[in-house]
Amino acid sequence: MGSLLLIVGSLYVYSSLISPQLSALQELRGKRQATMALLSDYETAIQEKNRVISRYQSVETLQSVFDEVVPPDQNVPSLLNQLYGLAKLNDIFVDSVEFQEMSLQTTTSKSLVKPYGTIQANVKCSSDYAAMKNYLGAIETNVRLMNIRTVTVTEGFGDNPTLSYTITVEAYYLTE
Amino acid sequence: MAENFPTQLPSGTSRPGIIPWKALIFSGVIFGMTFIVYLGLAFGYKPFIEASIANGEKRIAELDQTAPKAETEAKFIQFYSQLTNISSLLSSHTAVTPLFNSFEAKTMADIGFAGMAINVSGKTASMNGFARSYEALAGQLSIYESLSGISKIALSSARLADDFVRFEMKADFTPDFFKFTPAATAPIEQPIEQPIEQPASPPAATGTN
Repeated sequence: MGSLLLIVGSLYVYSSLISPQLSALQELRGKRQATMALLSDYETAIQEKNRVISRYQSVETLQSVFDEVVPPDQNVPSLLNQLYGLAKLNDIFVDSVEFQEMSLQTTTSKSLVKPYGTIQANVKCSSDYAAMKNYLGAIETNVRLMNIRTVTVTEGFGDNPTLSYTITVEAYYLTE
Repeated sequence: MAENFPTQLPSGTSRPGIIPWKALIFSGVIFGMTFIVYLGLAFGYKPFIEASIANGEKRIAELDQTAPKAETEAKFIQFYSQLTNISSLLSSHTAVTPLFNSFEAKTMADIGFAGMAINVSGKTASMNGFARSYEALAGQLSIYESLSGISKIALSSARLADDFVRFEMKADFTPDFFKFTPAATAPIEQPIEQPIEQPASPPAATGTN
C-alpha cells in the first residue's frame, strides 16, 4: 500500500511539478539562446560602428568641404550668390536667374545613403565670347558642384558683338 | 504435530513480507529521485538560465552605453551620404568648354557662328552661322567630321544671303565628349588652325572664334 502511494506520489511530482518546469525551462532556454545571439550580433555591430565612427572622426574636417560641394539643404541664396558672383568676376551682365526644383534621385528604402535633390537654374546673361567661355569654365570648376545642361547662344549685334545666352545649370543638395 | 510443520519453504517460492519491503524501497527511491530532479530543475537549472538571460540583457544594456550617440551617427550618415553622392556626381560631371576649345582650334577663318544651342544631356549641338563661300563651308564640314569627339555632323541648310552662305548644322558628340576632365577644360594654348579675322561685316554676326 505504501509502495503504491509512493509511486502515485512520484507520478504526481512528475506531472504537476516537473512537467511544468520542463516547459518553462524549454522556453527559458530559447530565450537565453536568442539573448546570446542578440548579444553577439549587437557586440559585433557596436564594435564595427565604433570603428567606423572613429575613422570618420579622423576625417571630420572634410565635412565643411562636403557641405560646400553638396550642401545639406537647397541653400538657394548661396547658389544665387555663386552664380552671380562668378558672372560679376567675368564682367557678365546677368539679365535674369530662375530656379526650379527637380525630382529627387531615386534610392532604395533600405539604403543608408540619403538621396540628393537637384535645383535647376536658368541664367540669362550677356557678354562677349571670352567672358562667356570663362564663365562656363568657372561654373564647371565651382566648389558647389554644378553641371551645365544646356547653353543657348543667340545672335549678338554690332562690330564687337555682345552675345545673349541662357545657361541651364543643375546644382545638388542632400535631402533630409 | 510440531514435527509435521515444514521448516523450509518449498523451493521456487519467496518468503511472505520481503517483496512488499523491496517494492517499498524501490518506490521510495523512485519518489526521492523524482523529487530531487524537481528540486534540481526548480532551484538549480532554472535560476541558472534566468541569471544567464539577465546577464545577457545587462551586457546589451552596457553595450548601449558604449554605442555612438545618435547625433554622431546622424552626422556620420550625412557625411557618408555626401561622400557617396559626390562620388556619383563627379563620375557624371560634365563640361561644355571642351566644345568651345575644339571649335576654336578647328574653325577656319572663313567661317563664323551666329548662334549655338548645346544640349549636354543629348550630346548634341545645333549651330547657325555664315561662311564666305560654299567651298569654305564644305571644307569646314570635313574638318569637323574628322574631329575625334564628333560622331556625326549634319548640314541642315545652306543658302546664299548678302554675299555670305548662311548655314545651319547639327553635331552629335561621342558619349564621353562632355565628360569633365581637368585637362579637357584647360584652354588650348596653340590652336591647330589659328583662326583669323571674321568675315567682313557679316549680317548680325557673332562667332566663337
